[in-house]
Amino acid sequence: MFDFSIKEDGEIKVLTINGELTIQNANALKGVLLSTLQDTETLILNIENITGADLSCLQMLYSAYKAGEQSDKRFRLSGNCPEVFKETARDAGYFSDDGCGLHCDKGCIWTGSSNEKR
Amino acid sequence: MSTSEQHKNAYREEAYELLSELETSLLELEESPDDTELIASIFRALHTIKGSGSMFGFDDITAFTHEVETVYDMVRNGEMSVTKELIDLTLSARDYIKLMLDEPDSEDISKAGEVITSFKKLIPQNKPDLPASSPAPLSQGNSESIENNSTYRIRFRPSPEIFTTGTNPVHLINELRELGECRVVAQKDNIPDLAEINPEHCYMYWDIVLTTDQGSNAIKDIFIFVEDDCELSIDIIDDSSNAEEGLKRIFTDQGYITDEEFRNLSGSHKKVGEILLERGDISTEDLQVALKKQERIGEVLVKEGKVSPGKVDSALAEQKHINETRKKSVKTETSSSIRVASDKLDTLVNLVGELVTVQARLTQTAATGNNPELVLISEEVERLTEELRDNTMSVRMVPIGTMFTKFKRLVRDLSSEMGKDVQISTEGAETELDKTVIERLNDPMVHLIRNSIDHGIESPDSRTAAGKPGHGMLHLSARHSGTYVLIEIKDDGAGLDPEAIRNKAIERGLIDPASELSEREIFALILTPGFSTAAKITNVSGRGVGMDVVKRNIEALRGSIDIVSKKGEGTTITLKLPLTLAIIDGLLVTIGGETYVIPLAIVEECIELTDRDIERAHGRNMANIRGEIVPYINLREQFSINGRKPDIEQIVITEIEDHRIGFVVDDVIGEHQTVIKSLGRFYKDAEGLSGATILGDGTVALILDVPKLLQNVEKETAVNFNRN
Repeated sequence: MFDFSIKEDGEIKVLTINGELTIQNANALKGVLLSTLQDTETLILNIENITGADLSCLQMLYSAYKAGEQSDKRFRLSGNCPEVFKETARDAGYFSDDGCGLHCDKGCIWTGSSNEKR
Repeated sequence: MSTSEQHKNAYREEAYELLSELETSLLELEESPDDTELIASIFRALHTIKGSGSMFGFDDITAFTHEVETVYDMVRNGEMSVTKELIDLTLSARDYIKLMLDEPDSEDISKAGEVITSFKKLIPQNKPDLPASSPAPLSQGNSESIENNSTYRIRFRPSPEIFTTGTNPVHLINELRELGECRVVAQKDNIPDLAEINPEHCYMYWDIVLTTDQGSNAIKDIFIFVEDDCELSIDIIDDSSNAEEGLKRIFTDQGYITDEEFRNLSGSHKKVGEILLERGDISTEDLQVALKKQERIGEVLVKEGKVSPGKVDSALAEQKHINETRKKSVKTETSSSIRVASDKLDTLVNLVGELVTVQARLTQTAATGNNPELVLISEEVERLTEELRDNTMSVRMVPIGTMFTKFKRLVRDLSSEMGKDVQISTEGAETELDKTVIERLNDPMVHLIRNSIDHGIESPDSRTAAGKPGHGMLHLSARHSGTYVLIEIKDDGAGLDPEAIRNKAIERGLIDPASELSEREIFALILTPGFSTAAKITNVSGRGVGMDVVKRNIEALRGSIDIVSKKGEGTTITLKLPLTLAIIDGLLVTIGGETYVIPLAIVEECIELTDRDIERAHGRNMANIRGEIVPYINLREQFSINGRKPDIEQIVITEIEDHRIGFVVDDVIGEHQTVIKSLGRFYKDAEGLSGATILGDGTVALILDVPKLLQNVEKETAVNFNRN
C-alpha cells in the first residue's frame, strides 16, 4: 500500500506519505518527489504514518533532499520520524553525528544517534 | 622445551597470578559485598582462567572454572547476593584450581565436584540450574576478550542490481554487527540527481569499521553469496602490533614522512588525514597541501573538493572507533608488564655483580696509571655501572603486598579454625623488597602470625572478660628505614609475661638466676633454642619449630628481630631486613694485610685507637668516645691473626640492636660496592662471616657477619664469667 497527499500553504507544500516506502513503490515515490519539488521553495515531508522503509527509498529521499539543498530549496521533515524509518536509516549507516555533512540548518533528517551496536 | 610446553608454562604463571588476584578480590569482597567493581574483577579473573585454560588444553580447569564463573555471572547480574558461604566456597574453588595446576594427578581433585554441588545449592530456586554441559564458547565479541580483537576496515560496494536479486545489503551489514563492535558509514556520493535516479538500482556503498575476535574469514563468510558481484575489501587496521608498523611502512615507503616524524605522530592515535590516505581516498600531495593550512583537515579537504563529506565522515567514524577500542584496552596496556623467568633475573644480577667487580678494577688501574683519559673513562663507567646496578636491583624489587594478601587468607582460616575472631589490617603494602628476601621471609612470617593468633590473641570470651572488644586485631605493616625494611606484626592479645619467661629461662638453664635483664632482653629469650612457653602443642603453633628457627631465618637474611610487649595489651614483633641480598655498600678494612668488608649500613663512625688509649682503659676492651664508654672487639685477636699490630689502630663503631659496639681493625680503606658471593658449602659453618666479595685487584675480601661476631664474643664472655 502506498498513497500520498499534498497540501499547499502558500510557498510551502506538505507532502504526506502513507504506507510502505519500499522498492515496490520506489517509482511512484520518485514521481511524486520530482513533481512536488519542482514548483515549491519549501517542501515539508510527513512520513509519520509509513509502515515500512527500505534502502531504495532511503537513497531516493536522500537524492531529493540533496537536490533541494543544492537548489536552495528547503526540504524538511514534519511530525515524528517513525521508528521504522529510523531503524532502516540507522542500520544502513545513514545517520552521522553531523547529519549529511552538507551543513544545512537544524532539522536535518539524517542526524541520528549514529551506529551503536544493536 | 617444546612450544606447547612453553605455552602451558606461560598459562600456569598467568593463572597463578590471576588466582592470587582472585583471592585478594574475594577477601575484599567479603568486607564490601556490594562492590560491583570487585565482582567484575572476580568474574574477569575466572573468565580468563577458563578461557586461556581451554586454549592450552587444561580441560579440567576449564570445566570446573566454568561452573564457578556461571555463579559469578549471576552475582554480577544481581541475581545472587554475596554471602560468607559464597566467599568460602569460591576460596576453596580457587584452591582446587591451584591444585589442578600444581598436581594435576592429585586424588584430592575428585573432591572438587563437592564444591560445585555446594555452589548449585546456593543458586536461588527459581533460577535454572547450572548447565551440566561443557563450557559455552568463550568469545562472544565481548570486551573481556579485547586482547584478541582485531579491527578491520571493510569497504563494501554492492552491484547496482543487488536489489533485484532480492538481497538486502542492510541484512549483510547487520550480520557484521553480530561479529563485534561495528561502525557503519553509508557513502552516498554516488547517488545521482532525482531526475536521473533509477529507483531499482543501488548507488550506495559502505565503509565499515569492525572490531572482532572472529578473524577475517568470518567477515568473508557473510559476503559469500554476493562476493562475485560486489567490490569488497577487508583490511586489518588495528591489532595490538601490526597496525602501527603497517601504517609506518605506508608513510615512510612513499617518502612522505621520516621515521622520526612518524614516531611523533603515532604518539596519538591515527589522524583523519592518515586514514583517508591509507584508504586511497586522497593522495599524499592532497594531504600535504591540506596539512599546511591551519584548519581541521577534513574541512579543508572537503572545501577543496578533494574528498566527499561522506568519506571524511567515514574516516572520522573509523578514528573514533579505534580510539574507543583502544581506550577500552588502555587498562591492560598501562598495567602491561613482561613476564621474565626469575633465573634470568638472577643471571642479570650476577652479571651486574661481575661488572661492578671489573669496574672496581678499572678504577684502580686508572688511578695508579698516569693516563688522564683513562681516568675519565673509568669515572664514566663507574657512573653507568652504579646506575645499572640500581636499576637491576629495582627490577628485583617486589611489593610486599602480595605476601600480605596471602596472610589475610591465613588469618581468616586460622581464626575460624581456632574459634577466634581476628581482624587483620595491613599498611605499607607497596613497600618493596628484594624478591629473594620476600621468598625467604614467608616461613618466618607465617610462624609469627600463627603464634600471634594461637598464643597472643585470646578467645572472644576471655577478651570480653578482660574488657577488650571480642574481636582481636592483627596489624601487619611494612616501611622503609634507610637500607632496611621494617616489618611489624602487631597484635592486641594477651602480651608476653616477662616474669614467666624469666622463670622458664632459669628453669631451662638459659640464664643465670642472678642475672639482671631488661624487659627487651627477657623477651629476646623466647628466640633462643629450646624455649617454649606454650602449655600445649596445637595444630597451629608449637610444632617443634621454635622461635629460634624464625630468628635463624631472619638472621640468614642479614636481618634482626625486636620484640616489644605489654602484658594484657599485646605484642609487637619488628623484623628489620636489608633491602637486598645481592649487592651492598660495604666498608673496606684491613687486618694483618687481609681485606675485610663491614656492611656500611651498620657503621656509625671510625675512631683511632692508640696504645695510650689501651693503657688508660686498664686492658679492658672499652673506648671512651666523647665521654661515652663503648665496648669493642679486637678482630685481630678474634681471628687469631699473628704479626705486629700497627701503632695506631682504628675502631669501627657499629650499631647492633641499639647497642654501640666497636670493632678494632688495622686500617680503614674506604667505601666499596660489595657484590655478595656465597662462601660455598665447605665454609658454611664458618661463623662470623656472611660471604665474600672480589676486589678490584682480583683478591677476595671476606664479609663480616657483625651480629654473629658479637654473639660469639658474648658467649665466650659468659663462659669465662661462669668459669670464674
